[in-house]
Amino acid sequence: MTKIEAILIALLLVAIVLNGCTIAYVGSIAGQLSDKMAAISSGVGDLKDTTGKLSAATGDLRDTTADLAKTMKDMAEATKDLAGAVGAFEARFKTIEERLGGLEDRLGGLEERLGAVEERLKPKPTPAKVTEFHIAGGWPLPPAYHGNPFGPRGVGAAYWFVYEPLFYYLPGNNTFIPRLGVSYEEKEGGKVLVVHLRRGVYWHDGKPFTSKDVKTSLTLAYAIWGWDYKYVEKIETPDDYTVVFHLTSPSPLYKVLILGRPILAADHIFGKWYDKASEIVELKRAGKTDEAKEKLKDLTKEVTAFKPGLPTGTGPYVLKKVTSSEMYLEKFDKHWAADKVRIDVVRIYRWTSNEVVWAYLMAGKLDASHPATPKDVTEEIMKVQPKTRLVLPSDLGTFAVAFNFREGQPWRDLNLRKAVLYAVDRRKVREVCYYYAKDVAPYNHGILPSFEKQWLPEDFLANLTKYEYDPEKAAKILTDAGYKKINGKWHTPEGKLIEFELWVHSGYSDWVLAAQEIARQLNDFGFSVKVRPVPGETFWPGIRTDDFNQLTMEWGAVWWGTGHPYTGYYRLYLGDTYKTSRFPADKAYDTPWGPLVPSKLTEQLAAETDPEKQKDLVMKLAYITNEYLPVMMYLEKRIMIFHVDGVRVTGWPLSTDPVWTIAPGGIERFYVILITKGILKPVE
Amino acid sequence: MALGGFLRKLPYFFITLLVATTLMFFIVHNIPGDVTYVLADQIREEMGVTYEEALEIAYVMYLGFRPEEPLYKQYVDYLLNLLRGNLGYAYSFRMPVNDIVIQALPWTLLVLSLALVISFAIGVVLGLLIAWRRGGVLGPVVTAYAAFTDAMPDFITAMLLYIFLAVRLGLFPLKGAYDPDIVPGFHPAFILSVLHHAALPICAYVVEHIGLWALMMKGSATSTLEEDFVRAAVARGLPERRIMMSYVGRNAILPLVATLAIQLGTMLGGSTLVERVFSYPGIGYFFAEALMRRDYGLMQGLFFLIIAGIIGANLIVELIYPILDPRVRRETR
Repeated sequence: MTKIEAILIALLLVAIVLNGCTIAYVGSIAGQLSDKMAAISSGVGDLKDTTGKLSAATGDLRDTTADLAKTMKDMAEATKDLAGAVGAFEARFKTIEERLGGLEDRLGGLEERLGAVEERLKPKPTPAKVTEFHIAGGWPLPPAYHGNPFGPRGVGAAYWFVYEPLFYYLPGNNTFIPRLGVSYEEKEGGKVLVVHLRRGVYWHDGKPFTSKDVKTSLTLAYAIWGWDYKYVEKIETPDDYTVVFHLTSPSPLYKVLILGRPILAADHIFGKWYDKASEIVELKRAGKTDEAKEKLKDLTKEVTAFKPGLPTGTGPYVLKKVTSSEMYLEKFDKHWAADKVRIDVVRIYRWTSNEVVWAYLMAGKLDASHPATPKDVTEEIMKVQPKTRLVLPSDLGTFAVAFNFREGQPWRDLNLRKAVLYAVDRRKVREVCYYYAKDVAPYNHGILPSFEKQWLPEDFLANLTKYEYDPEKAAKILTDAGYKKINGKWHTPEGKLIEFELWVHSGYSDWVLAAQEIARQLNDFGFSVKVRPVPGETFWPGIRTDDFNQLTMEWGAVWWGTGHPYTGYYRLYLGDTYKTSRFPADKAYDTPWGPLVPSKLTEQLAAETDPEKQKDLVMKLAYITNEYLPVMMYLEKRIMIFHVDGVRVTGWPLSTDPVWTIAPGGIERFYVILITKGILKPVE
Repeated sequence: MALGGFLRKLPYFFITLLVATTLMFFIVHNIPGDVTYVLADQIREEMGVTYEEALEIAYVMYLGFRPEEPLYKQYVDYLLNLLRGNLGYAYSFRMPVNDIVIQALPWTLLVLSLALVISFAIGVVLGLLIAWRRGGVLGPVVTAYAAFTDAMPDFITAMLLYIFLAVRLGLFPLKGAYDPDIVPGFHPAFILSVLHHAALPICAYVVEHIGLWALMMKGSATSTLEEDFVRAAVARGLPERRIMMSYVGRNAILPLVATLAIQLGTMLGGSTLVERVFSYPGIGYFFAEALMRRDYGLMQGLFFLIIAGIIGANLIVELIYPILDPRVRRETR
């Protein structure tokens, strides 16, 4: 045995051992495996059972699924059928819905139509009718209309419907009607005027009205128009509803003027110019007129450049539209008296001429108007429109012939003036030129005949000279004074022919007619008179100079603004008519009370607050005027207020009611008072 | 050829315009009175103040608005402004004259152009008939009518028509250019309202002017009837209607064309009184205001309008006359 054999045998033995081990191990493994296989086999058996069972169950399930599938299929088919049915149903439903909708619409339409028919057939109450009031007036035509009260020619006839004053003053009974002011007090002997303002007043744009508006508005007017600043030293506004006026001196007249001024400028609109206006007023008060004028030039330019189109006020009507033929105003619902205002609309027809206004009245288009109208046309209007009435309140002025008292003029001789008074039939002149005016004859005392009883007692009147038409008496006066009638013409004691021109404003047709009639009568009497019509723009400057030859038509006693005799005598002895005639008013004249100076008496009257003392002064002035004849007054102008009752409006007051006396200088104030008090109302 | 003649006339047109405008400017500025005095008169009445106070207020109201330069400077400014198309400034209204003209002139043109065309057409036919049928009743009737309407001021005619047709019979509105309750615009209600309101002013103007045109046409047609070419036409046995219209009418109307042109020019001034009666918003109202208030600015602007209208219309006649009348064309050639 070799080594190799040995190694081989060893190896074989090792292999055998290893194999044995392996076999043993494999055996043990196999045993285990066998156990496991048995277990598996048993499991598989179980599994088989289970599978069998499962298979059976699956078979059952299969059957069930098949059944289910079949059922599902049946259901799907059924669902499909149902879906089709639902679709069809939906479609039909939609169609029905649409048709129903259409039917509903048609039904709705039918209902509406039925409602409308019912509405039309129903005996319903009369719809709220727009009630209107028609008058006539003027305004700058578009495109010139601007709506700014300070602009050229203002806001036209709408003025008193749009704006209100603190109070309205009635000269007829010397009372104040509250408007923006509710009451006033006079303090410090009349030097301070305290005005309490109305609460709940609004501007047309809805802003509240306060004392600031009063101050701004009046200050602008004082600066631009020169209102009242001469006697109003200061305006204070201690609170929103109180205004205090400090006056230079007490006077019953200042109160009338101050309280009657309309409040035109809302502070929230015009307030931006207040400071400039205030400065100008102060300069004026300080007498620095040149400086004031320079500043005023700028202010006027700025203020008048403001063109709002339509005005904003506090009045009972709002101006809504301005055309070339009509102004249209609607009731202001926030006005403090709106509950009493029953007229919704005011229409103002354009007043181009008196003839056109007569036509409007004849056509029944106006409810009220005041054109100067001859007798025949008046009768025609009343005949054509039988519901028309006529009331004739005083226009607060007399027409007169002013004598020229300048050096060298023959009219300085009282005899010649008296002769003229007797030689002219003043009643005839009134009939010719203004039929519906009131006669001044037989007196010439300067108190308006409409207010004669108020101021002059009958026993006083009985002692005045009466100048009834009496040419023979006139001739006797002249003859006694040395005048001579040669060849039918009167000559002065110096032998000079009495010839002169009678100047007249050519634009005043009634003055022209009067001048012609007076000239005719004086020529018949033996004077040589020629009428000279002069255009207004040269007439007024002309008669205030020495240019005019001896006689001119003028205003006599004029009470505009105040309704007080002072204003009339001021005009005759200090104002415009004095400047025309140059009657020696600062000279003393013999009277039953001794020598009296008319200019001084007039100044005393302005400051006198005691009514009895006022009457006493008025009598003295009336005496001088009647006996010394600074002018010859021949008629008291009266406003012819045509008004129609029972067509559109009704409720006009009786002709004796003092409210008519507010008509001069702004007749619309009269209408506004009646409307806002509920007196003038629509016809039911 | 006609255009050449027209162009040759153009320098004359401008020279005439300049001379007329210059004359007008200085005449207007020499009218007595002043805008301040007129305003003072108004203020005195309205505010119850003394005349001196009123004058002071009026003076202040116009401070800075009235030109205060020397007249020659105002004249130069005025001409320069005209070249720029600016007619001037209306002091009393505080606005440019152009603004006034733009708003007011269309109403005047509407009424007066229609009235002129209608009165011209009717008058010419009437005149031709009278001339053709001499010895008939129509001649004396139309002559009497023309004499009557010529003597009667247009204001009275307008007033009579107004009283009878508007006031008594209520056929026409009493006032204005349209119903104020209708919103202005290009719609039938407004147009009808405008025509309804314009009818009576037009009627007043037509009634006044028919007679005048008829007599002018009669005179012209009568002399044309004596012409040889008319006799020849009659001898040739042409129809009466043709002779009347084509031979007589066409020739007789020529002299009237120049008058028509002048009338068209003056139309720009409006008819103040007629507009006043009917409260019509034309240029006439502003003309009356300008004169009454001595508003030189407005007066100058409106007078210039008339001057330019008349001279311009004549220039247009120069242009169309050769077209209407071949004889003139030959002469021009």
